[in-house]
Amino acid sequence: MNPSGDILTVTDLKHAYGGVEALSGCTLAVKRGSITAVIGPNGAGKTTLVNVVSGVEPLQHGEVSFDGIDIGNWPAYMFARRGLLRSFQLPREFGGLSVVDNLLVVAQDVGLENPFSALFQRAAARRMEASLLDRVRGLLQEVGLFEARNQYARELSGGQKRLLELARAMIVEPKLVILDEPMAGVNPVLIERVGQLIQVWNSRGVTFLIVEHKLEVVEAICGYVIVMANGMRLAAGTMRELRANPAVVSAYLGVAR
Amino acid sequence: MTLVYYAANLGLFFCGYVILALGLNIQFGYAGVLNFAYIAFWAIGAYITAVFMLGPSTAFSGETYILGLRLPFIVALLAGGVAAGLLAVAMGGLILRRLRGDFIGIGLFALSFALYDVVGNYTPLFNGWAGVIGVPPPLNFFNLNAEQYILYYLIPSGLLAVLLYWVAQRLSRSPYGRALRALREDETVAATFGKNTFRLRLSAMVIGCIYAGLAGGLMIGFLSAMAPASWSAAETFIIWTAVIVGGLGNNRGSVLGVLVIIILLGEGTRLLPLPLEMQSLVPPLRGIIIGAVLIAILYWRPKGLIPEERTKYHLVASQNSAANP
Repeated sequence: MNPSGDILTVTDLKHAYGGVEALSGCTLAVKRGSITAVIGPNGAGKTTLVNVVSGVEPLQHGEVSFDGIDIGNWPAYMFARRGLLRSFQLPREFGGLSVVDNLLVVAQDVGLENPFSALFQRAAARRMEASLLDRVRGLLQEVGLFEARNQYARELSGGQKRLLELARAMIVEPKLVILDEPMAGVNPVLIERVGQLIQVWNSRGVTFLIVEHKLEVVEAICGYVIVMANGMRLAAGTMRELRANPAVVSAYLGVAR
Repeated sequence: MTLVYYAANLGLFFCGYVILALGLNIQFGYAGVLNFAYIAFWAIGAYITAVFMLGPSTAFSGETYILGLRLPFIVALLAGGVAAGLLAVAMGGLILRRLRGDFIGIGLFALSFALYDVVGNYTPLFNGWAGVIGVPPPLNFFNLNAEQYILYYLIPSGLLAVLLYWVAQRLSRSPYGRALRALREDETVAATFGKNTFRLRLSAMVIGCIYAGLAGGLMIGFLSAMAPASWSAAETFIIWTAVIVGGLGNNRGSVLGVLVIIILLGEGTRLLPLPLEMQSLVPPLRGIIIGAVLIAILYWRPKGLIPEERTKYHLVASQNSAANP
């Protein structure tokens, strides 16, 4: 693949729920190694875009290519295995699992995830867990959840759940992480912390695509911003460029900004 | 001595129901698969074990059933487990592929009624509503009389229950068990993290149904007959009650649930001090009491008598990598 090119390209994506068209010919690209934002008014099709690109909803029309491969027909479980991960608007931790198990379960070797291995390959499973636990510890310390490691994930606060979701995404060593409103319902101190974590992980080579309404966050951490409206890409550029774009201002930013 | 045999008989039911509860716990407690058809898999296991052990059906006996292979019990029992597993592949393949959550329960429930009516009405299969009868007591090498045999049969029953408990524990404490639990908590998220949710759910359903089939094969050994009346839909929910009351996701809970619901309440209600003419009230009273216990548990102790265990990992904080963003 081209290491400096686009990690994700979306071409002429259309998606409808019944008669309502959520995406009507959306075309955009995410540069490898970037922190790219998607902004736009409610109903612009941002979450639908994320859902189709991450395989949560089937592709209806158009093309999605990740890392140079057409992923339109992949089953849902393939995306993560190839390094494309996403989060959801509301925290969706595995509530009945401990914090540590939330990380182990997504990072564990799929080849050991079957009844046969459960009965007869216990040593291999223990070795795998031991090697993963080192990374689990590092990540939990990095996001500040180490003290909560043995709690049920459902017992965490809203902000802690966000941090857990980030750690859970990072432990699988993804190439591209799509975050759907990672700052929603997060307090200002934590917003800064999440922003810093995203920048740190980005500096280690992870590309981020972030759907976000908090424009000051977008301005602070996202080098490239895509504006969506009416199921299409309206404009793209740096936040400064977009503020000077009359079409963007009237569709989303408003005069007051 | 009658009390001993009564206790031994209870012990046989206990072993059979423990296996049933463990299997349902794998399906629902671990993986969250709502199998409301569960008892049908028990029945198939019993039927197949029976027709593997019995001789061919003859015209003048008035019974009709398939196979009649006169094979040893061990072979027949395994065949019962395999048959239940294959039925689970078929039913699960149909229902689990497209449906989710509660709809899986409804879909399987509906299919089990179809199966019930087919088995009842299509007499060449398992002798229809009259059922398969006269299964010889298995493993009776010592020509024991009926009462001695009940005591003796506790040994293979107990061994099978212990073996399957051990298997269930291993499945629980493994990457596989962890993946099933993640699937139970949030199927969509599990899929976005690379879990093949259909395969995981189907595998859990098949394993649970093999448990049910083995329980059926084991229990036909002392029940000696199996007919549709023994596996009505209500029988499914008594096992559900035992698993929920005991504690979902916990195998010890499943065992305790069987002890409380099936043995203590199921049998204990027989001893209610009711006058003779009111003895017919016992079955409905039993239903009311068990239902009330289920509601009370769900209200005050929703995770059951023994809640699911949480694995605690021994992790020591390292000094150098403390938060330095």
